[in-house]
Amino acid sequence: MEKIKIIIDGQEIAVRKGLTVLEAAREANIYIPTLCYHPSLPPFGGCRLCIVEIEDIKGYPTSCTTPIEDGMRIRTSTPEIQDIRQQVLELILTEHPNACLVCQHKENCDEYKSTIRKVDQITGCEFCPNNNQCELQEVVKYIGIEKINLPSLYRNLPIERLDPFFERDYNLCILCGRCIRACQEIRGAGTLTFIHRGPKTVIGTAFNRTHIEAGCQFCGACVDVCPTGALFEKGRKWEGISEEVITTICPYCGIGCQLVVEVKGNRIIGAYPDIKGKTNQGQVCVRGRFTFKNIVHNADRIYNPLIRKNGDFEEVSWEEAVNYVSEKLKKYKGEEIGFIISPQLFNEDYYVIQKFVRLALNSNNIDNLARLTSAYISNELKDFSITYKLQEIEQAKCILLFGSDIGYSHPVINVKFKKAVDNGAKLIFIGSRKPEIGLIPFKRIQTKPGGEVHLIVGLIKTIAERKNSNLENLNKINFDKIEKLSGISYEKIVEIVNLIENFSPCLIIYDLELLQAWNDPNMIKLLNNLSILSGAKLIPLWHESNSRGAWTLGISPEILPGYIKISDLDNIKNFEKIWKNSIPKSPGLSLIEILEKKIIKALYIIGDIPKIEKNLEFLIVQNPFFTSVCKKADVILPACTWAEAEGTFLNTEGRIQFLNRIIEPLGNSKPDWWIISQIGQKIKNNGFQYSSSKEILEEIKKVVPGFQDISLSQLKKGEPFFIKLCSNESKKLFRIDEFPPMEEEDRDFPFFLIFRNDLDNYRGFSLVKNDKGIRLIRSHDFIELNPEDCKKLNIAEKDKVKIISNYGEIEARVKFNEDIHQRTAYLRFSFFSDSFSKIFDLPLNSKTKIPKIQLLPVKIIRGENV
Amino acid sequence: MRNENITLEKLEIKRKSIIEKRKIYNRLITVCGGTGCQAYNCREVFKKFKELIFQKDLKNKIELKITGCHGFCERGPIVVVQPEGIFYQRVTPEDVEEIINETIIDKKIISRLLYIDPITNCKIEKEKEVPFYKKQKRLIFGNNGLIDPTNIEDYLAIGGYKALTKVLTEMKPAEVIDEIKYSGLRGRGGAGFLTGRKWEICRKAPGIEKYIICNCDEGDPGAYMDRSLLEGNPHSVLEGMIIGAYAIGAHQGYIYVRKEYPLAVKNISQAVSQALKWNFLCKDILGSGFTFNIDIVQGAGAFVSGEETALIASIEGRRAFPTPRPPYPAEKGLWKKPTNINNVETWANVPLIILKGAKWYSQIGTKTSKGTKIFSLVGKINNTGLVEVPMGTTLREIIFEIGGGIPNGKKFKAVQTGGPSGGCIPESLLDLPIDFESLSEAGSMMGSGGMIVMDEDTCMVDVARYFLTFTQHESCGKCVPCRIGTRQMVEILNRIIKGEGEPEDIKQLEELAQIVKKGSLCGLGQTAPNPVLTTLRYFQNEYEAHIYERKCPAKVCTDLIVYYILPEKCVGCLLCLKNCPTEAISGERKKVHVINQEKCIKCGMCYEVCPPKVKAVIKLSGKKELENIQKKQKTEGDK
Repeated sequence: MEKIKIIIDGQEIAVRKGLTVLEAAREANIYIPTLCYHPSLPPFGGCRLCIVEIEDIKGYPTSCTTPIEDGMRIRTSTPEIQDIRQQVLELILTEHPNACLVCQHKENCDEYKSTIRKVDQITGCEFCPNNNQCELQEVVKYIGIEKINLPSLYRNLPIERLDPFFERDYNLCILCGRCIRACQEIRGAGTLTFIHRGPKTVIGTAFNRTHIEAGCQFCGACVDVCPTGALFEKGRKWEGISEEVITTICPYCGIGCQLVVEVKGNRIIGAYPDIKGKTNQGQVCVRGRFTFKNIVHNADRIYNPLIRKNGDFEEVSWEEAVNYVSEKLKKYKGEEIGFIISPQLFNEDYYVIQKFVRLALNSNNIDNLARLTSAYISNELKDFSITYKLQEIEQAKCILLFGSDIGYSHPVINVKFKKAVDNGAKLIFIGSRKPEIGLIPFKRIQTKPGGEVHLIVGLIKTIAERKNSNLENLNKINFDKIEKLSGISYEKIVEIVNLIENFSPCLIIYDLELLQAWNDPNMIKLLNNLSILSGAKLIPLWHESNSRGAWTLGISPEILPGYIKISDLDNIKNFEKIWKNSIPKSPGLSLIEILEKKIIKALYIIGDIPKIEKNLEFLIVQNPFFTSVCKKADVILPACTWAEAEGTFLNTEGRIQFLNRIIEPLGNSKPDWWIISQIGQKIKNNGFQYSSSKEILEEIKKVVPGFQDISLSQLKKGEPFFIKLCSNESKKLFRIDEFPPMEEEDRDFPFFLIFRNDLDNYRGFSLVKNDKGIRLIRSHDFIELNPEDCKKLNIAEKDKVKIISNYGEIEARVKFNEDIHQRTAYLRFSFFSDSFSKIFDLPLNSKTKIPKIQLLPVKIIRGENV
Repeated sequence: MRNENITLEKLEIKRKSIIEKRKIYNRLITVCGGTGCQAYNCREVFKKFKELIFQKDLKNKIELKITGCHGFCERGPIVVVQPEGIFYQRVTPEDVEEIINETIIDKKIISRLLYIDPITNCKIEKEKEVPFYKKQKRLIFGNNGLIDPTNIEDYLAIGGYKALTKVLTEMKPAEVIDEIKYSGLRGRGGAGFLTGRKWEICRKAPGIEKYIICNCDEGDPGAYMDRSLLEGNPHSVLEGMIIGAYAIGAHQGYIYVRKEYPLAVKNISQAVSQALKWNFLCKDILGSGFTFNIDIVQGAGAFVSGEETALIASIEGRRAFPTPRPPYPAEKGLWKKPTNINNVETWANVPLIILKGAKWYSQIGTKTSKGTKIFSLVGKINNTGLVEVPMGTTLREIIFEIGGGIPNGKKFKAVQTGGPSGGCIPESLLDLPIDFESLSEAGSMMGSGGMIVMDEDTCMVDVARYFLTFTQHESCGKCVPCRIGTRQMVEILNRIIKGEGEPEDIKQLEELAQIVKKGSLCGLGQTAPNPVLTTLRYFQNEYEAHIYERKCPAKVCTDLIVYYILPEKCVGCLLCLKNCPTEAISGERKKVHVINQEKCIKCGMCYEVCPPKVKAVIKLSGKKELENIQKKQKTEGDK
């Protein structure tokens, strides 16, 4: 990087070209007071506190906006400048309640609270929830203001409390515009803006709607950057200053954002995104920002093991519970026991659980709930080994994005798209439904529902033809047919191909939801072919925080840790050698089979599942929360949450991330690995004597390919570790003989129902159900329909409708969406909702072992409206 | 749409044929169609002319056009008969038949429609002899009265686009820039930066993609020269822009015009589409290989949008917030590309300089400020309108010779130049030759050329408060000194005019003014305190009168003034009593009426209705004056 010399306060320094005067000064350890400046936001130049004098520039330029030039002579604190700063700050304090800043009793007040209330309406010293956590206070201290000579001009604006998560007292606002820049420039959301002008200028939404009405996603970026108490988290209010801050990884989606959790006593009082976070760089979504406290300290937490005795649950000791469970489990044969595991546990937990099932219980009947979204990974393709960095998105010049829900399921990724587009990237969105990516400009290719697959075939054919690649079976397909199936014309396809070819690097980002559309692992082969032919890199987005870890650590009926197939006898020997035991060699039952097959007599659930229809002899639920399935359980084992244990996650990038323990386990709850190890020790003498998750990680390193190089101490320091699961084989094109069929129109069931995955849960504990704020903004109770369809069916918005499939029916309220194709319906789907078991066709695909859950033919009729 | 075939050569042939074609006319009637005259119903006058010309079958002899603003808005609607230049003012549709019959057919002058010089009381026949026009040098604005702005042929007939052909055939971009530099042309938008220099910086800025912008976000209350140029002679602006684009190397231009100027939007839009048709815009202009296109963007009505960085933000679709410089727009402007912004009037000067040469141009004006400047002369002045004078003309010449002085025999008090953030210049500086430097030395500025004349009935504290209230409301709210500083200043001024001023207020105002000036981000804030600073400089006695004596010498500030009925004059007619909305006046028929000061809300109704012959109700500057009168009466009564 080119360096240039500048003279700042008489000191000559060499700094990187492209910095601003302020950044250069900070590098030289010269403090310049600022209020509107924030390191992660574009400069604004509004607060006027960072003014400096620069030779040859007239007036007082703001250092945060002025780029340095060679030989620049800068003075940062002449008496003149100090004077202006002081007076400007005084002006700010005429509008901002200032008693907490300039009160003559300030010193005593801290100690004796001698001036708790003053008569003046602007006093406010004890009213500001941000007292002592305020940048304005710091700046006042530095600049030194003892008295305000001007009359106060309190704005007397009403405090806005209607929206969830945070409230807004714009009387405390100094209009630094940080929140707006965060909202617009970083998140690309555009909810917030300046409204009115002159002295009436305030921050708000267009047309003064509530934030919910204005489409706010409540990512909290505005709250994070607010220098005063104007934007304040409701749940954090009056908690004061934290005693300790600990970094962690968010347990909800696959991105794995790094957060800083504020702790007081053994309580989480708040969380905010870590600016040093490798995946999120100081950004997070509503789930990570605002729900930790509520989830970890939820009233539905279970604090003691429970055993059903005479029909009622009774609190017992761990010893009793472990004895009881191990004795019971010993009575069943391996094939009679099933395990269903949440995809939000630690890698260490997974390793111990699968070892326990295979070794102690001699069973392979173990599966994880991510099967529904990620069963398409294939050994043949080794696509499970794809690693990438989300930051690559920022450098991409062309992005092909499949998955209309990415902005909802992985909201932080919008930040990357925004950066990419700002850097000149072409963002092409392919899908049937409009994506929720705020105001980020994109090129939209609206396919027919499920037509993405056919479009991919069209892209492959076009590129293959240009490159004269030999994919002879492509001749069978013609573009007329592709247009008919996908709804995209040849011209459009050529346009996309031109963009891919002219703008590189190109990325193909796909949500695993895309794969559900065809319900066939061939889908991945198509994507692979497109990637190889176009030179674009494939970027899959995994859903749950550690679904990748669950698969990689062998939470699967047919795969052992490190993606070793159960049929791969050579590699299995290796495991048997280390585990000093034999492993059952035949694949076990998969998720739906475990739930349906009669052979299963005992079920062990770690996490949650929707209600169980069949009768079981013995049901164990291991989860931190008392959910509906617990009512049927025989034993409930209180696991602690991620916040009370430590371990590693494998995120969507293939990055291994370490999570610190934030607080001590609440009540008698225990980490999952501990519970399973205890039972393991009772059933099997050897192999489960673990005393910490660290010890388990050491064993993983020995056993599981891809984990060998990890160093825990370096992980804790935040060094990036990516899983290496196979050597870089040369990529090959796959011959695909079977092409996706056309979805048949069904006269009786004329609508195609498309499910939008729900990721708003932790171990099955629904945020929508259990967090009032999340419920307000992410309610699931509606079905999206085209108004034209509704007109024909005589359905108005918000009416109740019945959605009927061949297998059952459910009810939902209607929300109009002009944008979607006619005769399609979109419903947010949660595995944990009743709808799942009610309307699905249960025959499973032989390869993926899941039912067809996308493009389900349904009919829609008016429900009974009250 | 586009006429591909017009090349440089063909243009001259076309031009000749246009001029030939028009030789059949022996008379030209122009009806002023500026927004001012439109308000006076000039459309009806024009319609009537058209009807009668058709009826009387004069179509082939008389050319009739509705032109842009002639400038003398005070006397609209204006009709000029050429080639004699007979000047009729305040013409109504009813006068039209007479004009046709008398002036056109019988070649007689209609005396009653002529303008009467208020000083000599003589009737004036010809336009150029009207004192309002006589003293002007209408280089830029003069053609407004000759052409129909909606007809490109009119502009071509008077030699339009000749400067462009000259540039495209004879000059390299650097030569164009040099010519503009040598001419000494300075930006007419206010700051007065050397236009040629600005172009040069933009030309030299790295990057292929560059933009030029025409700023017609004329937000100053009372200033409307840019509007009149876009309305009356849009092609001259376009021609200037195309030349500028050629010199700078821009291929896309924008004209940012206020939505509140519908006629300007209409005429410039039409001009752009005509220019496209005639191959003055778009690809390969006149076969020269140069490409340039213009889009029109309508502003959404914020005063600050006239600030160039705010204007750029507005074009980009963002809130019109100014951004700090550096980086300057010439380096990083619209869409972060080098951008050159000039005001309408500046662009309109360009073709003139190219055609007549920098040397000729630089002889007009003063040492530092060259050429002419259009001012909009408004306020307490006889001849309201747009005037164009060489730089260096004195204020006295403009106000008293061109403007015809102050109406109703009142005394001149001050003139405020440069829009709401300009300063108020007192009578003692009337002989100031106007240019960029002299105005700023006087504490004011050139600004966009607004000129508001004030007479003795104006309270300077109230004026300062008025302008500051305007800038305060129009402050974008981005930077602290401008947003809160002006608010604090307005609060103080409001107190002063209410009679609640404190002695330290003057010092406080001065301090705040300095902070707002020094600390503000953009020109709006940096100049907003000017009205306060200049009134404090030249009229401090008025502030002191308000603060120390609680009186308003100009008798304007309602909270201070007092209405009083002179007992010796009152005839007891009951008029004021009946009209008083608060029943503050008591009295009986033929008995002296008395105002109850407690009840009086100072609406001035009694003052208005008191018969001129009686003049019993008087306005007093403050309570002290009332007390003095009452004391005097008492002593007289005692005697």
